Amino acid sequence: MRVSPNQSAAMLSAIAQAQEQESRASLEISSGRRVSVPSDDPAAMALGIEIGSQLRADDAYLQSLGSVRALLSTADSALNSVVTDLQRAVTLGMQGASGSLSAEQRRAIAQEVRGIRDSVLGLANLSFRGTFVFAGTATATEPFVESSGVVLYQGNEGANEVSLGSTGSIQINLPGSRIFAAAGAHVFAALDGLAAALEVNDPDAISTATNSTRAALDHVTAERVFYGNGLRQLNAREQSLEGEKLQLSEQQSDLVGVDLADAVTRLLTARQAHDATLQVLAQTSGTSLLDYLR
Amino acid sequence: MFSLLGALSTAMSGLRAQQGAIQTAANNIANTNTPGYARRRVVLQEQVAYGGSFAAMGNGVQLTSVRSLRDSVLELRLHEETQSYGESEAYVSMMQKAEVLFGDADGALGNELGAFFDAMQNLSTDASSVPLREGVLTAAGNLASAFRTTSQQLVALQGNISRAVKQAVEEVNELAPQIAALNAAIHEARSESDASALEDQRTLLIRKMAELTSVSVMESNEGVTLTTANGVPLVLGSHSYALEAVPGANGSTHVSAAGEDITSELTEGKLGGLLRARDVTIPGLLTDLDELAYGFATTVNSIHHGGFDLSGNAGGDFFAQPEQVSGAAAGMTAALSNARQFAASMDGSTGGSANLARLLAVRDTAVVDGKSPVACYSAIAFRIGSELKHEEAEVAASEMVLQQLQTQRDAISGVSMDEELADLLRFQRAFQAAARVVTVVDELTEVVMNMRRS
Repeated sequence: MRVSPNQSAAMLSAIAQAQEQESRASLEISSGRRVSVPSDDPAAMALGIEIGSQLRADDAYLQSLGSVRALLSTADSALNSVVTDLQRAVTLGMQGASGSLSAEQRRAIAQEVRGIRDSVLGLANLSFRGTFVFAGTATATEPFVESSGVVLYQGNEGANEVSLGSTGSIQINLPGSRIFAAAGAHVFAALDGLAAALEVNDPDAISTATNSTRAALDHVTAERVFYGNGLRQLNAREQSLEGEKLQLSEQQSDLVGVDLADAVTRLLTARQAHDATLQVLAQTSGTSLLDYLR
Repeated sequence: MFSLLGALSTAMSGLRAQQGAIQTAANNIANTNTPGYARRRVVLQEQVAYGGSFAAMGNGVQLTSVRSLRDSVLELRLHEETQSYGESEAYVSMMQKAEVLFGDADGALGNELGAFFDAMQNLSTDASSVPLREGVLTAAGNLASAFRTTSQQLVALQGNISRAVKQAVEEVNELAPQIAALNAAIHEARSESDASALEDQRTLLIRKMAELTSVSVMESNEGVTLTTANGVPLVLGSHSYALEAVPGANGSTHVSAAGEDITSELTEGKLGGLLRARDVTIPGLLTDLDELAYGFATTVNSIHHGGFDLSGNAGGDFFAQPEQVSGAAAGMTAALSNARQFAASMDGSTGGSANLARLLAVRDTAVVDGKSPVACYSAIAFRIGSELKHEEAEVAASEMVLQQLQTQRDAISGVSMDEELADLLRFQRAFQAAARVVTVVDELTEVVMNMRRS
């Protein structure tokens, strides 16, 4: 059978193919990506886009988690101070109730109790990054305001939640009314009552007021658990988010990232094929009948 | 009868025939690298001698014709494969420009979708914060602009394709008269050997035509007839008919033949590929984008209406509400002018983020066909990617088939230098031998002339 006398055409196309493979492999190596455009691997690209979006979202969740942690720990340490203050008030109340004190001594104690009330009021009006922490969702309103000697709650009963992705969302605040102005455990009423009882020098009333203050203390201590729990939850979720991120980035790099060993091998194979074709081309085009006709 | 002079004329016929054969070999060698050239062979035949009992001695040789070696079935296959290669190749080169819009690079629509939700996520830790609200508005602006740019770039690509269509039509219109002229020349040439060179040229031009558009070839005694998609002739004997590039309804270039719009019927060659990209695939992508833009804007707006902004007012449109699906992506704009207008709260309180949480949930909410926004986007990327990957494989396969057909064609029609040189030697020797016969006859004649003197 007659073969095509023009063998170089086939070889030129083989060379072009080898060059294309070489440039493809070099591109993958230099860009670090196996899949740069959808047609490189449509399924990997589609999944890669969704995983990439999930990864970005996880970063945003982790960032939120940091903000929430700052907020919760600020609130928690404020409540810790409130608890310390209330404990001191209870101690003062017990001292004041003992019969050996003079009216003047009780007035001195009452003054300290007033001081405690002011300190607790300041803590209850805590603001964090310009918003009131214990005002429910009315974060622009100062929650506790003194009006003719009585502290009134101005905030609302709302609570906000922040989503932390697949691990669910977390409540980030308790309305101040629930912490400081609960029925039977109104912190400011208890402290004001205690101070007033001390000022009027009435040991029985001091006892009663001390009990009210103790009830308020117990209530605040119980409510504070919310913040401690929240902080513990954040740690657990941070770990699971970090774990998820690690897994997703591995998956993404498997999908669209370059397999360096594979790409280098392909580059070398293509280069060898290129060299071999060039050699064959150089040798075959050298043979001609002309060489033998002298 | 037989005579010395008879031998001389036999030798002369040999000289002539070998000369013709040498000239043919020389022409083959000269055209080794001429595209479309089919090698030629001389057809030698013994000259018939009539009458007499010695007719079997023969009367010499006759060069009856010069034949081009060509396989018409193979040429037809090449023609068909060239059409489908031209189609895929043009389609791929255009759609490669479109697919880069649907990747995972920075600034791609998919990333801007994610960034929008990330900005809202940041806001959710402090819903009253104006700087974080500004962040949401900026991300929304970027997202809207990504929708618009992606759609604008697809439309711009359609415009580029229209220009390429116009150019291809012009190329077809340049080729048709050339083929018609060759038809006429071949018809007039009559003799087979004169027509060979013209036929080679015509085959080459028809191949170029096949690369450009749908065209079917019919041989008749008027020459070849070329008809396009709907049977409208491009070349009929020595007449050629032009295609027309006319502006269509939506500003895109349409192709018409004999006053009839044949745009949708052109399915082969470069024109076929260009038109498929422009009129089928890109409109599909634009519709996908519009559906996503419409579904997304509508979902976000309806949730945003249910909330309250920092000033306690009910939320307005977050994105300018598109009136219909068509054109939604191109018209996507973020509607809020002030960060305080973002309705994050459900209860009207400044720090409430319940409505923001509902907006954040859109990340995983079905906006089109049960798919979340990012899943919609990745589905578009998958569709264009897999279609293009398939088409790229077609181009590679078609290239291989073309290569093989070309090799097969060359096996029949290609000029082999070794073969021609061997032929040249053969004819050279025969010529020398015939010349020798002339010398011998000359010597013998001299012997006859000198008979009486000796």
